[in-house]
Amino acid sequence: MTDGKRKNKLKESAGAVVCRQIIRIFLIFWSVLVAFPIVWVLYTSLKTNKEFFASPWSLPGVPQWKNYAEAWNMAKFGSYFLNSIVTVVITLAITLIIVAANAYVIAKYKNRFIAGLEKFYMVAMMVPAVLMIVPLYYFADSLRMTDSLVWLSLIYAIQGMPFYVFMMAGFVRGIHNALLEAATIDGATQFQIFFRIILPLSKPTLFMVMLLNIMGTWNEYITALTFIRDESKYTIAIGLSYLTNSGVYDVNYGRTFAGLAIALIPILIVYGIFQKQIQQGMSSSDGVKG
Amino acid sequence: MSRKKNKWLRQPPDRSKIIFFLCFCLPPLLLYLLFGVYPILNSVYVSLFEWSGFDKLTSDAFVGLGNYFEVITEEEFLCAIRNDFIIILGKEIIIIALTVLFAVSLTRLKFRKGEASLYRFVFFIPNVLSVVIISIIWTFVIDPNFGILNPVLRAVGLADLIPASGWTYEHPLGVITFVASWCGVGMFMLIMIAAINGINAEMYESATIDGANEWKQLRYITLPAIREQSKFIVVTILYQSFSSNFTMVQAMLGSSVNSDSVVMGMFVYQNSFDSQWPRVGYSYSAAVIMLVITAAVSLIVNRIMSGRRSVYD
Repeated sequence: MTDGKRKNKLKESAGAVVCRQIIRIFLIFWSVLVAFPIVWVLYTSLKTNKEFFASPWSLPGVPQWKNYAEAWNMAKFGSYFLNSIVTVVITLAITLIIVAANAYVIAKYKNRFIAGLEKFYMVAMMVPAVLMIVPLYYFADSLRMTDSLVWLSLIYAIQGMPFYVFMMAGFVRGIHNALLEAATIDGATQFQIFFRIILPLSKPTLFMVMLLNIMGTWNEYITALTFIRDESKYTIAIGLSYLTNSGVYDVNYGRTFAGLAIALIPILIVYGIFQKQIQQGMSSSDGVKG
Repeated sequence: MSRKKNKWLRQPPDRSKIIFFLCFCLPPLLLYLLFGVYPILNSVYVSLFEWSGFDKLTSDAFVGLGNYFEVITEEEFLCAIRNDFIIILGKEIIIIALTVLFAVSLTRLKFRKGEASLYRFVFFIPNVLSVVIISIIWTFVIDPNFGILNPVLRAVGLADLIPASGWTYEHPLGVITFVASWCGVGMFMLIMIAAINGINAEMYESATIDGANEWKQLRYITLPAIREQSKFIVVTILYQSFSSNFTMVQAMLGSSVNSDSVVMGMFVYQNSFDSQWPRVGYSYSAAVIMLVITAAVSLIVNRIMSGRRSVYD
């Protein structure tokens, strides 16, 4: 390596260092913008009402843990939690089986009918979900199915299916046909191929579908808001909006923030534990694009 | 090799395949028709009637295209269309700009591993939170009485920016656009990072040997390589937005929306449920128009962005 070249390289890396520092400021700014509101909610939930109005910034003097007890008891968060868990479990069970099977069929069965099915789901997926809510509400109402968590879960699973199918189909396409051919020659049925080859091989993608599905169902707001009118059936999302709306009338903000924190903390914990898988899955979901 | 592939692909469907299809794919398909297609067809049909949602639908209530004429001359609905597009445009610009900036920086600027993954961890947080939680948090943050945004602006000398009667009241679209973008950056950044990491490292190596500096590498290797991914993000934001705009507006503003902040989904929803005299047929006609707009925009964007290819091929 000549001297000239080395000099050039050093100069470049100096530029890169400056560039990195400038970008770092941006990155830190955005991190604060994302993280601080959440941190603020967490510590404000431990303040008294008086402290809150004195200064929204200050840390709590004496942590008011009773805010949590009040939010939990008064807003029936236990019941909301249970309802959300029931909905998540039912939705997940239906989603996993239909998504995996449909992804397999769409990725590996090639005939005109399946191609048509794929196109159909692709187009149907583009329809804004908002447009289905009102007609579905009146449909459910005519069947006396409003306020049913099972019905709600079924709607979640079915409406979410195409998205997850395409996400997974991108992965299943990558499984070698030779593997499936060999299994067919050895006399395996489609069920055996699906359960013995496709499912085990697509575990990472399935896990991603699972995480996304759990988070999506847990967080879903508008469909639940429309279908669930009975307070004893509220999921966490609508329970929360109910809590803050009623919080307008009683002005105990510590309690309101505690309710918010109660809804926030479990999600943050789950994300903290599974962040690797979630991020990994996200990057593998570029199979959506293919 | 390709012949072998074709042989597998051209196989006529055998019995096992048909049974598998009937077991696992037909029931979801039928349910999908019920939950995903029937509501749309039903909307189209009922949109021809004046129907409040409670009584039985009778032929007396048939008004033909009357609802449609009423909707397209309704000023609030036209505002809703405009507002939807303003929000989407703002989101596209903010999200694409930040996504590309952050993704390129985190992959090419040699940040330490721990630091880079800390950013990835933090930026993604909004994607795991419910729209309800996000909207409540931001409503508190920008609250004129006890929020923390206004004190911050005063501290950095931008007090002039503070609207006298509150952010959500004076700049509802700005607030919605910002919060929606705040939610989107993390996930799209990860998708973009994956695309950049997928670029063959040898390309950069040989470019360095050939004397291309970092800037040239960005211009001629990284950016062309992530073009496809950017298209995907643009299209995804677009078709998600008609739904997510509504959810965000409903969660943040609820029944306090007016023509400055209403979006199409909200218009449909309010006319179906919230008003004292629900007009379901009327709201469905707005829904059908919204569907047509969504479809037209998706088609146009798909054509422009990916030529003949569709998003998922």
